[in-house]
Amino acid sequence: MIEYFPLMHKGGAEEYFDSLILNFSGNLTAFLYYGSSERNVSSGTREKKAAADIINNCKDIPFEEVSKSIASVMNDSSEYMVIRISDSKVESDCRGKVNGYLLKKGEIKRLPNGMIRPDVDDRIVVGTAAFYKKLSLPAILADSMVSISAEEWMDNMICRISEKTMLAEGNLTALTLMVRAEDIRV
Amino acid sequence: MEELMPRFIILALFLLLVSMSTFSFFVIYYLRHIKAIHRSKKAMGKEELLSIDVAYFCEVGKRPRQEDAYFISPLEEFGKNGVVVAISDGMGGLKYGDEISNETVKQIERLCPLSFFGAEKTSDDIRKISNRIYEQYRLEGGATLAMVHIYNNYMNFYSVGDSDIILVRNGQATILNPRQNYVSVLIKKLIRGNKTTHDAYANNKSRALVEFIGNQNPRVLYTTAPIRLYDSDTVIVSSDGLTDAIPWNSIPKYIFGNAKNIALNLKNTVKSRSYPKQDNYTSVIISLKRGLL
Repeated sequence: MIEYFPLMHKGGAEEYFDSLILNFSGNLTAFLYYGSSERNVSSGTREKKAAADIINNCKDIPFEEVSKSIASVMNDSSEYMVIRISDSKVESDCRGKVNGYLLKKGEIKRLPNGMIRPDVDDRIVVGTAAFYKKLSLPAILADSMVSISAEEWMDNMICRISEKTMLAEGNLTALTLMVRAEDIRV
Repeated sequence: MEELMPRFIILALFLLLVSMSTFSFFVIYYLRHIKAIHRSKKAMGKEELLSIDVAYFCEVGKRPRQEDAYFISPLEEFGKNGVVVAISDGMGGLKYGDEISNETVKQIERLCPLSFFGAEKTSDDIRKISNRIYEQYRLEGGATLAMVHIYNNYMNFYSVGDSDIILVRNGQATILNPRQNYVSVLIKKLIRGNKTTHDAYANNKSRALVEFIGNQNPRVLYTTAPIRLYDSDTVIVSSDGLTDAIPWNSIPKYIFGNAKNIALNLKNTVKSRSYPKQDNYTSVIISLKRGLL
């Protein structure tokens, strides 16, 4: 089962320009749009709405098709990530400065575009460049390893960002995911 | 006699049920425990082991007494048991800070050798240490604990309070253990309201600890899976007297040479700052290098 926790924080910005859309039908499909990126700021309403329609109706549609549909409604300069995660596989496609990291066997590695097979206790974080800006890789790893839930992991990372920015800079958007042997928790 | 028979059967059935439940509980517990050990061992694999170089300092600063205490497990047992390093910092202003920090590291020493694959049990043992101290001192003092266990290129860490476990890797320092203070509690509340966190830092008292050794049933932070270490990593376990004088993110400037050099660099820098309110400062520096011990 997959445990997850989302972060959608406006920060000191006028608006929340980013977007995080989740669909839980069968497995977890997430779309993370980096609207507050310098390349995109204040744009993307049409793209976000179109992507939301695709994600909300992606049940039983193969990930590749979902990813292609999203790409077809996005601007060339759009920065986003689409990820689908189940107990047996993680599929992801990221464009621009939206990344994912896989935490496995005490190490942290960039989540590649494409498909990987997760193991129980693997952890994944996806987020915008603004979210990662004040975090080091060992910090992300350590925060995860001491956390008993995806929510606590997110909180630990937020505390680190807060120490440096008081969460007042711009939008922060991220999603923590834990592969569990047991039941799903939010 | 015949009247007693149904009662006897009910009692026998009840006892059978209890014993079966107990047996099932232990079977499930041990299966999970063994699986966790197997996963950790598999993760570690067979590879060249890093050697360690250890040095420390323990200074009083401008305080009237030393309230920090430390423990380093015997280095000659590194190959077999790894190395355990613990630092406990007595809470200033409270009566028995020094006694409690000393008692904490003494009891950590008694736990050694620790099982590297039993982090959950070790964290539970630390919680029990805290409970014993609570029974003895009834909150008339407390201490932090920062502890690492390094074994076969991997590290587990344990933390209660706000002492530091710092990893210096590729010229960048990271405090690994989340601080258990009231600021963290406030930040969590503020973020739920989609607010910025200026208010969390507005009051100096918000730096107060929410978890400490000497409290009843404190939350002991521990790594649920060990963290991989690499050649040239440096791990510093330290009381906050060090990072009060040297900002933690500037520590990489002092990381050159062997562990003894690093310890001297850090100690002399704190001394040279001559802060009038310099707290006790204690650090153990562990340098990891490729090669056999």
